[in-house]
Amino acid sequence: MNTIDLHPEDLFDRSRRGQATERDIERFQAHLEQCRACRYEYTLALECAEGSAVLPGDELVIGRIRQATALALERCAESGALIERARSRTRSRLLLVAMASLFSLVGLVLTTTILTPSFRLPRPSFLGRSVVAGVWGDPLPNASPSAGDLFTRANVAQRDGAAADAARLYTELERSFPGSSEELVARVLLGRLLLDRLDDPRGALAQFDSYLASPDHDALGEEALIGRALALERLGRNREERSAWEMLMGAHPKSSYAEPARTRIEELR
Amino acid sequence: MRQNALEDPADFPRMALLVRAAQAGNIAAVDAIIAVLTPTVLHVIRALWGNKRDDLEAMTRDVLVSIVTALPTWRGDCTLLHFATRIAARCAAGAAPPAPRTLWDRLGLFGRGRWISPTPWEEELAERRRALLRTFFGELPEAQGETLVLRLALGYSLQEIALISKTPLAVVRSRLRLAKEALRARIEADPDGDELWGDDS
Repeated sequence: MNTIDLHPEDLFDRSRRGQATERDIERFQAHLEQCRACRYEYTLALECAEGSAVLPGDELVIGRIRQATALALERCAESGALIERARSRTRSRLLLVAMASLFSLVGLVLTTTILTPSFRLPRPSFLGRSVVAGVWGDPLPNASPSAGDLFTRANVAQRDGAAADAARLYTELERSFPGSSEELVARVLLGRLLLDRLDDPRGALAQFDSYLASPDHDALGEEALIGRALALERLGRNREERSAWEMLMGAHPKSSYAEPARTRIEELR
Repeated sequence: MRQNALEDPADFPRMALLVRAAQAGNIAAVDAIIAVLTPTVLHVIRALWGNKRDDLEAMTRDVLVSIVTALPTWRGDCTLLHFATRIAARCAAGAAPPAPRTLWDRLGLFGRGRWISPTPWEEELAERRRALLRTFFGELPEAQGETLVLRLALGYSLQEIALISKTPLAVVRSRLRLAKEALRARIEADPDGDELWGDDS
């Protein structure tokens, strides 16, 4: 057996992450004396770490890069495949909305011409301020974050392991921008967060159900069905769980979860 | 020394959700992916090129554009981080060398912290070692190169690499062992080896 077979990778990690004890360091140094491969690797790892250390002002650098990337994608016709797809979806939705508005307008004109209203209903207080008041009346504060801001902040918090913060931001997004494309995706992301990290299968189930109930849902339908079944399993609602797995198999027979779903359906029989 | 800002391996299922939404044309998801990956890609670029290049931001932007462009091909057989790292390492290893440094740069008379350490000569040696590493990545079989990038440039443990690359731990261990053997052979065959590594044994 040569020394290559005996690389103490755990010692390497502990030393590199500053978690090594005195004894670990002694053992690791003794190994480095003997093993050239580890010595080279350790030198390179240290240099990589030095080169990539976080610098003051990195937040600004990252912000600039994100902006430049978005601009580059805007300009790059070919790489805009995803963006172009999103735009064409938006365009077709706008077209639908425009057509619907046109029909509504025609209907409204006909209705007002034929059936002149004899009285006007007051605006109920529970509807809150009208949009017109918002636009023409007192201006809304423009410091409030957009749907995109909240979505990005939630995703970054999630990436950094701040699950509770991420959940709070997703919830804020849902409350502030219901029906936006960010909010729709956030329902599934929050559902998985509640299920996997925050031990709240009931809350997760509500998120998945809400996503699946939305007429605009499409991209994450399979994932929402999987999440729903997993949440029901955690809640011990076996009959509903089985039907959820069957729904998944019916809608997505080639799902990556097909095999576990089949096994689970058998177990629940 | 791994930075906290790097993707948390336990969060891969949720990152996969973002990719699926992006693939379906959700522009907010594309933006979110860029936001999540920017620190990681910048980290890889700096690890492989050091932090002295003037065009690091442009390189990072180009890598992110490549990643977003390639997103439609992502089939979920690896994690988003693995997918991104693979592209970042390939782009970073193949990037053009930096413009020649000025005499003032080489003398280290200007710039952050160069008065203290390392000396310009040490910096030059470090850059030559990094250049060797970049060339070496290109020579290795793809899977071994990716394992080495995740280990050296991003500082992941073997268990984390297994999670990220969706590969059994034993396979990761074997890939790393083979990569290290190849690295040693490559360095020992290098005529500048002694100078670069101070290794006269």
